[in-house]
This record gives sequence, C-alpha cells and structure tokens, in this order.
Amino acid sequence: MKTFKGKTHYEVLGVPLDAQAGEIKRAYQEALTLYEENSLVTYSLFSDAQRSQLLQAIDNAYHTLSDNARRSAYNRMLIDTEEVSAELFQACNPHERPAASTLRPLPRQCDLKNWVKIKWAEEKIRQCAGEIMRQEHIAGKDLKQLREIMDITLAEIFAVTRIPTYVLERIEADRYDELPAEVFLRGFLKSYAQTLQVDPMSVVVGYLKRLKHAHHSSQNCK
Amino acid sequence: MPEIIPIGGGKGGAGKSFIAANLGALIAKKGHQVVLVDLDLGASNLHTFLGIKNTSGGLNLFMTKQVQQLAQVVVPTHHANLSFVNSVNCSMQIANLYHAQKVKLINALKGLSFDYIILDLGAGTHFNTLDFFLTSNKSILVCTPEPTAIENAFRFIKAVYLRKLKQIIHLNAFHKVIKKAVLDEGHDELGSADIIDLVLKYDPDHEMLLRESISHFHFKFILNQFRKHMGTGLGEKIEIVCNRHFYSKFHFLGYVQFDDRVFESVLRKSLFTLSYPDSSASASLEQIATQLTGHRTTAVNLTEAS
Repeated sequence: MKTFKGKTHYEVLGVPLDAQAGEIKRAYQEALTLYEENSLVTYSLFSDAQRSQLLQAIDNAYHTLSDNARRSAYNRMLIDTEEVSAELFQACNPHERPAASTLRPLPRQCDLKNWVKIKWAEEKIRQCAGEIMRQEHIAGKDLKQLREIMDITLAEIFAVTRIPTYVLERIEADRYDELPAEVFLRGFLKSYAQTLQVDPMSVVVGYLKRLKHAHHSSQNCK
Repeated sequence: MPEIIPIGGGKGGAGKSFIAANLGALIAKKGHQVVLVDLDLGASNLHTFLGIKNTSGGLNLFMTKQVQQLAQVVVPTHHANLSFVNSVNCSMQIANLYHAQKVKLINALKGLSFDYIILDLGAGTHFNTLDFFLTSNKSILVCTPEPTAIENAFRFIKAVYLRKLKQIIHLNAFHKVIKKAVLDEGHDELGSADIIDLVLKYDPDHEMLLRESISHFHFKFILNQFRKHMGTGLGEKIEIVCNRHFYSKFHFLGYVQFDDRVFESVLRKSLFTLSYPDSSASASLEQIATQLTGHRTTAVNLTEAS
C-alpha cells in the first residue's frame, strides 16, 4: 500500500501548483473527510499508525501551503531539489493573482475552536464581547465586529457550521427581509454564537428582539 | 475469446447474485450471448433469481467427470441469449476445490463459446474465490455503503491484491529468497507491503516489473442498496483513495439504488430489471451494463498460478 511518502504537499492535497488559498482550504477539508478516523470512505482500510501518519502529512501540507511565506520557501526547496522545475512555477505564480478576500489562508496552525479560545485570552476581545452581550438588542454588525477582531473569515464559519456564507452575510448585515424562516434563523444564530464561544441563548434572544423591534417600527411607519 | 466477468466482494448479502443475474440479463438483452455461472459453491442461489426450478445436473456433473465438456451442463433460461450453469448439487468437497480441479474449471470456462461469462462468486476471501476473481481483468466487487460491508470489501481487495502479488512472484524470475519467503506455505502472515520490501531489499531490479504487473490489474466496483441519505460521492471518493494507495487501478461503476421491490421480485422468481425497467436501480444497472460492453478487452491468462 502506498503512503504519501515522496509526495509533494501539492500532491498530498491533490491541488495544482497555482492553487489559490480557497482551493487549498477546500482540498484540505476534503482530505480530512476521506482520512479521518470514522470516515466511511476509508473504513478499516488503514491501521491506526498508518492513518495518523497520513493525517499528519495532510496537516503538514496544509500548514505549509496555507501560509504565503512558508509556501514560497517550500516552492524554492522543490525547485532547488529539482522535484519540480522552476518553469512550472513561473507558469503559475499564485501571489500575482488577487486572492479572494473571504477565502484568505488561515493565519494559524490550530483549528478554529482552539483559535477562538486563544483569542478569548486577549483583553480587547473580552471587553468587546462583554459590551455586545450586555446589550438588550444584538445587531448583525455586532456579531460581525466580534468575528472580525477574532480574525475569522466567513468561510471559516461556514466550514464549521455549514451555514452558507450568503446567509451569514445577510445575518451580519441585518438584512431582515432576506433572512430564512425563524426556526432556521434560531439554529443558525446558535451555531454561529457557539463558534465564537459566546452564550448562544443571549445571541438568539438579543438578535430576534432587535429584528422584531425593527419589524414593529416599520409597520408603525406604514 | 469470451469475456469473463467475475462478481465478488467480501460480505454476504451485499447483492452479488442479484447484480450478476440482472447484469447478465441486461447484457443478453443487448444481443450478446451470456452465460451465468454460479460459483458460490456450497451456498448457491443464483437459480432463484433466474426463476429456475429444475436444478438437477449442473457443475457437479462436470467436476465429478460424469460429463466431459462444461458446455454439456449449460442450460438455457427463460430469457433469450442468457444461459446458466448451476452449482446447487456441488457437495462440500467441491466447495474446497483442489488446485488441479480449479485450473481445469477455469480453462473450461475460458473455452465456452459465449460472448460474456459472468461468474457469481461466494462471500469471504477463500483462495479459490480469489483465484476466480483473478481470472479476468473485468472483475467486479459488489459492496453496500455500510461500515461492515466496506470493511469486508477492503479485506477482500487486500486479499486479492496479495494473491496477485504472489502470482506475479510465482510466474517471474525473482530472487530465490523472495520466492521462498512468499511461496512457502508457512508465511501466511506476509503482507503486501512486506513483499514489496523484500523485493526492494533482495531484488531491486525486479521492483519495476512487480509494480508494472500489479498496476495492470483492475478492480471495478458497484455500491449496491444505496439510499439517498447516504451522502453523495462515496463511490467516487473510494475510487480516489484506492487509486492513491494501491498500485492497481480502481474504477467505480456506479450506485444501484435500494428498492423494496427487489425482495418481492425474488419471491416471484422474476428478474427485477425486467419487471421494473423504469426504476432508478434498473436504470443504474443498464448504465453499468453499457459501460461493461462498451469496449471489449481480452481476459488475462492466470491459470498457471497456484
């Protein structure tokens, strides 16, 4: 049975040399669904030792390719050791293209959950979250603010919660008329709050209060 | 030269006989001459799917030398172009074929004058089952999308793969240390990786030959009893992973949807795809039959192997 031995990071993730950040991230998530312990796709195919080796290789590949500096150094190494010819890289320089802003690479090595935990240790984040959570009404822009100071993208929220990014955008922009039905909205708000590790109930109640308040005032105006 | 399509897969109840009978009928309907051979010796029930009640004679007569030619035990079915060899009367001794008997049977199968010979194999990883599976490069593995079935399918694949490696070593001039290690009966615990390591250590010149030969072998597979909620892409993903981690080629033929009416059509002794040609399961089987008959390749000759 072949392992990832001798494979480049690009081959491990199955992405082309000019893969964009978003593509690399999707490939990484896809690879995890194939190789994680309870995946049906590879059920019992590998021993525990083999599986952890494969997952380690996937993590290494992602860690390197998702960071521009590390990726450049790695590319240079591939060229120096003649594993990949320089012309191939010249044909496709990823840094010259504008990266999709919502899909920029992760600035971190750990998963989102640990990242949020680390961020919570910062004074300014505790303060900001405290202020938001003390309000009776919670607006989408408050959630957005909290998310942004934690340096988390919508794509990452999507990766964890599977809430489509366009729905997240609507929630954050308080575009109340375009939101899904309340029963879904409650669920979305709850998982969004859980991802940011703030009290889900307060977020759901605060957000819906503001939404209903807005509805009332618009009806009164009519 | 007939094209042999062995249908196997580690787990019992995955639908090997169902797939064999229905694919046979669909290929026959396209105008090809097809014979279905029940090789699930000791646990055969392919005749049930075909609605054949008279199960006297069959493979048993050929194996016990009561008839000289395998063609003499081939019987027609209710369907045009579709013939059948039953193994209902094969005793338990025959379930454990001797090597010579197996070679005789495989050669006789290859000598039948049909376009397609579909072999319905038994469950498990007995080496006879593996050898029947290895008689052709068009072998199909049938699996259901459940953890236990997938576990057995991978075990089957690994067993076939190992058997194939051993055949290659047996048939070629590898270093004597390797031959001894691989072909000695006492080394059953030797895995595929160990064999490749041995070759790398003692006979690096033959490494390419080994890789080349093993890469010529193709596995095709079908996911049967598939239900909508089981998540899309499972078959395609298994294909990707297997192609990545084995040297052999894997090709996913398609999903066959779960259908309650399969049970009922077996009870009525009628073939599902003919009773319900408009069901999605029948459409998938039709599509698979088309893939199998689209291009014809010749069967690989492996009979000399032990």
